[in-house]
Amino acid sequence: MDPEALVRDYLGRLEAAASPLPADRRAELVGEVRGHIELALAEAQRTDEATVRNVLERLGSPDEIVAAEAVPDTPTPGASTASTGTVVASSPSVAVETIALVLLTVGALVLPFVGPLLGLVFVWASARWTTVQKRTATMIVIVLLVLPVVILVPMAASGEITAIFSTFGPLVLLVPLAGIVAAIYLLAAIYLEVTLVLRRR
Amino acid sequence: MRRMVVGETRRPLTELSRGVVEHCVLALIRDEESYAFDIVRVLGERGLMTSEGTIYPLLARLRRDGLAATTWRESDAGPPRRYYRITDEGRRVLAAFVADWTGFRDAVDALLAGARRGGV
Repeated sequence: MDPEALVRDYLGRLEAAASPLPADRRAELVGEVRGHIELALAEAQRTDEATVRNVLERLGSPDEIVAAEAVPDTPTPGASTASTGTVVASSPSVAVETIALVLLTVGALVLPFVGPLLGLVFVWASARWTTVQKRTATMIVIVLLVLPVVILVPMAASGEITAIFSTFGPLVLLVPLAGIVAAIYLLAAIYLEVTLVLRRR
Repeated sequence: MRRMVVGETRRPLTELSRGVVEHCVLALIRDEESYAFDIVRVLGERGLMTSEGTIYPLLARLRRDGLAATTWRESDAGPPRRYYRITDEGRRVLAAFVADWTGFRDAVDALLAGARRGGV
């Protein structure tokens, strides 16, 4: 069996063993173990079959991992006060990504130009996107901010704009422009969302 | 009495380590935050973790119980990592464990030493 198939097979068995777990925890666990394998292989700087087998062996069997998920007979002391801790720990980072995505989509319509820029601030505040992903999103947004200016300036210079303005007023330009710009901001948002979803898998 | 009730499938160290390793993890993230892969490495070096994958359920439990808090941080290579650090509640639980453990260890040590002397 080739090394990649070994990993796929292992994760498949883990997924199956974890079927009694709640869906979100199951996805998280499989994602965590997948990340562990990737990190271990990256560190070993080899991906041959023997190395992969060794990494998987050290992880333990999928059943063993899932069994450790539920240890109902040994409640950890302090568990009663616990739930707040989890919320405090994880919800802010989720919220930052949500705010970023909302600003990049709805924000582009409600607050043209300002909304997406604010969205970028939240994108950079998030710790769940990598620097490369943040740069890519920023590039998309900046290109889109500059694009209308690049289009409008030559038009204004050539006098085409004044002709349209005199008939419909300057606001008419904003209608198609805002639509196009907002639609393309979606690209940045979708790109970022996809990276999050892929991570969770 | 050569064999315990559960028989040959019983693995005393595995059973014993279950509750203990959790507290070792708390101790590992007491002074500085750490991520799962690194925690596993330290535990593995000391022979405290045989199935590395079980660290993830363990960490999830600490998270759920509010004994550890997490932050996603970027890494130089690869995707962002989830860093764990102890909470105030975790510190309380760890302090209680340290007290219990010391007494437990001394009692077991004394008893095992006595038994080894040939049941005097």
